[in-house]
This record gives sequence, C-alpha cells and structure tokens, in this order.
Amino acid sequence: MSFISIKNLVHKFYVKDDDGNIIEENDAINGVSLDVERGQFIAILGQNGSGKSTLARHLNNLLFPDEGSIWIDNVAVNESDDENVWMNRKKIGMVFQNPDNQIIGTTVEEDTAFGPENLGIQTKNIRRRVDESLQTVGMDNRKKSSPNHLSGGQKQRIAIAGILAMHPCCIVLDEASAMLDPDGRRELLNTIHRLNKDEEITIILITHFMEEAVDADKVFVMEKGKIKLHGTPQQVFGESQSIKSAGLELPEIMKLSLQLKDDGYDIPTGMFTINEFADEFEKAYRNRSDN
Amino acid sequence: MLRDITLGQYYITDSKLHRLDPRVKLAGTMIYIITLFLVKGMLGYLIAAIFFAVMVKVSRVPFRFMVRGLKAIVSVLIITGVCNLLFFNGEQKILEYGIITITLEGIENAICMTIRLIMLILGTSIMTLTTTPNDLTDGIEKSAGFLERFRIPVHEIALMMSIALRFIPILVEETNKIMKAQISRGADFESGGLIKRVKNYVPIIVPLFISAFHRASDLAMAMESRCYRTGKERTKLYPLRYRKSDYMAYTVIITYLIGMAFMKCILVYNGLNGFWTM
Amino acid sequence: MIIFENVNYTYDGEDKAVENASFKIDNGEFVGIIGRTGSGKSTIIQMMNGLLKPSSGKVLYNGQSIFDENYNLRELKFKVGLVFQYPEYQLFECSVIKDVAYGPENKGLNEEDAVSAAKRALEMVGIPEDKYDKSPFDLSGGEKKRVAIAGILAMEPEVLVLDEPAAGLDPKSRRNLFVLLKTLQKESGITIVVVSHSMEDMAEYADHILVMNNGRVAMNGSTKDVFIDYRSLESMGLAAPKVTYLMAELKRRGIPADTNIITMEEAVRCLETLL
Repeated sequence: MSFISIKNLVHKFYVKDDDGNIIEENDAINGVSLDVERGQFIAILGQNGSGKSTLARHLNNLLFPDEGSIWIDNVAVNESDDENVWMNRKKIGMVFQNPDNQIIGTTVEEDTAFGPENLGIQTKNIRRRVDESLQTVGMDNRKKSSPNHLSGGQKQRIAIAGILAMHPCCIVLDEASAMLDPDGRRELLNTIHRLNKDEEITIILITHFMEEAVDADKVFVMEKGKIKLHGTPQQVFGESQSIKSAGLELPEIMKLSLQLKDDGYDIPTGMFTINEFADEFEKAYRNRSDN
Repeated sequence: MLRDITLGQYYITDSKLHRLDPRVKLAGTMIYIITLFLVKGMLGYLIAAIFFAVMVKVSRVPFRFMVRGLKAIVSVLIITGVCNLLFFNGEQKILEYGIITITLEGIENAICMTIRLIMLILGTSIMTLTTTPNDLTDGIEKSAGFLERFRIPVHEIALMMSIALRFIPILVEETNKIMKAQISRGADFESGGLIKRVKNYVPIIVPLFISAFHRASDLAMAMESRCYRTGKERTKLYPLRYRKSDYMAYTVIITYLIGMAFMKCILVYNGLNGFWTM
Repeated sequence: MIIFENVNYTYDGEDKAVENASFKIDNGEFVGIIGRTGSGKSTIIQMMNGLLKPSSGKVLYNGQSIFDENYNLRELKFKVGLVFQYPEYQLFECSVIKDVAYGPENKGLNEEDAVSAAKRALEMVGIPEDKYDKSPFDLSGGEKKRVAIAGILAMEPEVLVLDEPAAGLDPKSRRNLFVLLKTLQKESGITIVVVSHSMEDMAEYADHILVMNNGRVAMNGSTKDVFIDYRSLESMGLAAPKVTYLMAELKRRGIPADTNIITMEEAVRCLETLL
C-alpha cells in the first residue's frame, strides 16, 4: 500500500442558521481518491475554493472524513483514537499560509523546540534536533532572533524547521508561498526541494503558482472538490483546455509552445524551461532553413 | 520601531542578575517587598537602599533606566504623599488651618510611604529589566505550579501570556496599517463630540478584532498540528534548573531578610523603633 | 499629475527608506512600481496621498505642493485613492453596500448619493447586485478584495494606487483584476499606479515602470525600455519576463530573434515569423 492512500474522501461543510439548524450543505471535497508514495514530490493545484486546503487538513488530521477513508503508513486514520491522530501529526507536518500565525515561540530556537517539547523529547535531544533542523533550513545563525524581525521567507523556513525537529516523513505546504515575495518564494522552494532530495522527505505542495508545480513528480488539479486531472507535469499541463476551465493558467513557456502549436506550427509542447524550449525551437528553425 | 516593543522593558545586557533563574528573582523581589513593609524608619530604608544599590550595580542596568519607570507614577506619589500628610491622625500638631491639621506623625508617615513606594517600583523594575518576558512566564509557571492542584491551569495561562507577548507588536503594527487604510478612505479621528469620536473608531476596531480572531484560530490549528495537547506533560528546551549561583543568590536574599527581621525585633524589644530607626 | 521632487523619507531611527526620489506620473497612465521588499515602494505610495510626509523634498499633485500649509490633505485622499495590500482585512460594515459607501459618506455625500456611488463602484468591479446586502465577511477572498477596491473607487478618485493587489489571488482572479484595472484606465481615464512583484503582469499591463532599489528610483522609463535592460534588473535582484530571456537565449544561439520583446503576444508573433 502507498504511504498515503485516500479513498473516496467526502467532506461537507454545513451552514447553520442562528438556531443551529442546518440550512445549507456544501461538499468541500466530493469523492477524492489519491495515493502518495514515500519520497515523492506532489503538487496539488486548484483555484481558491476548489477544496485543496480542506484536503490538506485531512492529511494532518485537523479534519476527519464524512465519508471515505484515509490510510497513512498502512494504518487507517481513526478520529476516536487519540494516539493514532498524534502519531499521524508527528509523521506529517504542515506549513500554513500566513507566516506570522504559525510561530509560537518568542525566539527562533524556542519555536523550533515547540514540537519536540510537545512530544516529550528529552532536553538534550531537543537541543540536538533544534540545532540540526535550523541548520538544514539555513537559519542556524538566527537562533536567538525574535521571529518578528525575520522576512516572510525566513519565517516559513522556521516553520519548516519546527516540523523537521519532530522527525516527520512528509511535509504538507498549504499555500505556504502565497504571502511571500519572489525572493521568499524561491527560498522556500529551494528548501523543500533540497529536503525532498537529500532527506527523502515526501513533499505535498499545495499552490496556485503554476511554476512551482513543474518540477513535481506528480501533479493533481482540483476543481469543485474533485480531482480533475492528475499525472506528470507534462501530462497535466498538456490538457490546456481543462487547466483553463479549472481557473488556472499554464506555465509561461508551456503557454508559448501551445500557442504556436494551436496556430499550426510543428513544435513539441512538453517543455517548461527556457533551455528546453530553445532546444526544440532551434531544431524546428534549422529544419525550416534546411528545406 | 514598533516591532521592538517589549512589555516590562527588558534591558539587553549580560550580568550575573540576568543569568539568575527567574524563580530566584521572583522570590528575591517578593522578599524585598516584604522587608519594605516590615520596616518603617530611615535606618531600615537605608539598609534596603544599600541592598537595592548593590543589585543595580550587579545588574549592569543604568540607574536612569529605572528612574524612567517612576515618571509615570509621579502623580500617584504626590497624591499618596499629600493624603498621608493631611489625614494622618497624629498628636504632635504643627499646623492647624480649618479642618486641616498637619502633625509630626503625618509628615513622618508621608515621607515613609513615599520612600516605600519609590523603592517598591524601583525594586520590581530590576526584575523586569533583567528577565525576558518569556523567562518570567516560565518562572511564574514553575513557582505557581502548586496551583495546578486547585485545578488552575497554570501552564496554559503561562503559554497564553507568552503568546500574547509575541503578538503585541504584530497587532500594534496591524492597527497602524488599518488606521492608515481608513484614513485613506477619508476617516476622521479628530473631529466631533465624544460619542462621534468613539464611533469613528469602529472601522478600526472591527477589522482588528476579526483579524485577531483569525490569527487565534490559525495559531490554534498550527499548535495542534505540531502535536500540542493540553494536560499532557511537556519537556523543555530550557528547563529551569538551579545552579550554584542560584543557591548563592537564595542565601544572600534570605540572609538579608533574616537580618532585617532580626534588627527590627531587637529595636522593638529595646523600644528603639521609630522614624529614625526602623 | 503626480510629481516627486528630490523626496527623502526616513523612519524614526532607521536608514533612509526613500532617497532623493524624483519622477513624474502623467494623467491617464498605467504605472508599475517594482522592486524588492524593503526597497521603498510602500513608502513612496504612502506619500502620494499624503499619509506620510517626506523628510525633505516636494510632492506635487496637479501642480500644487501637497504639504503646503493651506493644502487640503484630507481632500487629496479622495482624489488619490490608495488601496493597501490585503485590503479585504479592512472591511468592517455589516453589509457590502454600506462598507463601500463609507468613503463617499466621509467625502460629504448624503446617504442616497453615497449609496448610488457605491452601486456604481460595485458594478465596475463586477460584484452582482444580490450580494450588496450580504455581509462582506461571507464573500470569497477574491470578492472581498473587489469590494475593498470598490470602497476606494466609490470615492471617484482621479488616481488609483494599489499595493500588491493580486497577492493571494489564484490565476483567474488575478487576471480578472488586472483586466479590471486596465478597463478603469482605458474607459474611465483613471490613472493607475500598481506596486507588483509579477514582472509578467507588469509587462502586459503597465505603460511606464519605476524600479526602486535601496530607496532610490533606479530606473524610470517605458515598460519596454525597462524590461529589455534585464541585466540592470538582475543586478537589483529583479528579473525580466520569461519571454525576454527566451528571446535573448535564441539570439545567443544564432537565431535572429527580436530581443525587444516583453509579452507573450509579441513573442508568439515573432517566433511565428521565424518558422
């Protein structure tokens, strides 16, 4: 079985009137199934309100299914079993959108220590875990700083360090780059790619920046609580019409090649980087010149 | 800037006092306050002042920094002083004017009360200046741990305090931003009568509260996702642990307390207590 | 027309946030201000409507210095509408229409006129009528942002200044927002000033770009001139749109690509003539 296995997940939100009677029922997630293997880099794309954040919260056991089931590491998520829930939260860490609202400690190292402290780790081991985690995200020189003095990108790296200190095997990033500037976004992305490669940590990246998804092993596109597309970035972004109707956009270079193809030019479309495109274009150009 | 606001104005430097366990400092401050109420005479205050001066020296916090804290309460000092002066029932009348009677005891009492208050404020400020808010909450949590037995959630209260401290600068900045945004929409905070003015602040208070609630709910979720659960034993990166210097500090404080109490007893026994002694 | 003349700004006890800034924004332009975080962009736009007063130098609106003693600074706020980052966090009224009418009411309009100004603004930003009486807090993120922008538009400003208006929006809402701003510029003749981190958006929508770097106006010119000089942008930690880099790369490979290209549309046209 896969590391994470979700089967026919349904999550409902209820709108209640002042007396507490249910007046409206919305399906935030409506029959989602997906599998994540250990060590994968997964991207989940979707418009605001497509249900991707709700899905993320299920992975961290902050929400529980109304229907369907979630298996993490071959164990079914069980709402009534506290130990099971805590175990899952230890395995799967979560980085949220607003950098300020997830830092608990008054200094960087105190914040990083928050998770291990909750787990009841011995003091000398907390110290080691904190030092290692901060080093991994490149923030070990700011141990004693107040988080209020850091940039958005640095704060998100601290949030990641706080999770790493709990020794997880997977990190879910719920639009963690949405409030960052381009520098911060780059910092964050470099960090998670490095964790994925060097530490073999499974990454589930929820985002609406298309460019962040092009290096993923697998991409899922959500629309109205369902998974609309899934596959490699090439496969998913190849479905340009479906991407557009899901309220998303193609990565710039891909957009360019698709436009050329649509206009009847013979050029491949699976490229994401400037160099890949230039290679293909060069070929097409030389062929044309030869004829 | 705004982000530097810290409650209780911690003074950043390194000293023996800064390094002490916060529980020692809490106890020390407590004892210092007790001795201030124990004595009521110049000699006693002089000894307390010497003790205080030594602490200031050890703390390496400039004295003028502490005096700043006094400015805010000048009016309180004056009022207590004057009240004591005018309304203390003494026997040795010095001046009588209508219903106002000033007695020697009244003067002495006013002087004592003023000195006591000043020394109280200065003394407690040493604690806040040498202890980070976080250490202080830690210290309170540990010292007040016995209250858990009475079902008072000491740990949760301490955690709330430290989170509140972290969010004060963020909320101050946010208030500033919302205010600017509403001024850009033509909000006017200066004109109108009292009710109008209070109403003018609605466009600031409502968004501020909404944002604070959002932050609180985000934070609660982030804490839960990092395995926080109430009522569960937690470990600490910096557990409070007494070191040799802390025991030495306790010895000093307790010696000071016993010394003061002993002197007071002897003076009372010999009938020598009074304004000029203790 | 907004003119900055040798403007300096220093926050208490810190380095200069803005240093010797001089530039001009013409009526009816769409101006983009780009630069890294902390380069002084926010400070600049807060001086445009008089929220911040320069430490030295002059800010002129339609020829008048706005910090002159007898200049009505409050009036200026209605002419130069400023939309802060995440304006959705400033909503406070119990209904959408009331919230949008707050600005016009402050301007001195009576209730009826304020409400009709609010309705016009809501129509411009594309909020349907059945949502006017809803609580603004029940709307989606994108809608809230539109309502907040309508709150400024309802004051009928001549200039609309926006700080990172697309922050947190998904691609579709982001595109809709920029199309809206372009329409406001083209059809209502409103001058638009946008602070943005998205070079692609700026390349597509702005006429004129100001580049801020360490508190200084480092570049000031037409959108094309600024983005073509991608080496200067890079030295400031910024970048040109992807297509500009692509054209340079093709040129480097000996393909006669036009390196004067900054938008997708231009790139498609150029590449198609090459094939």
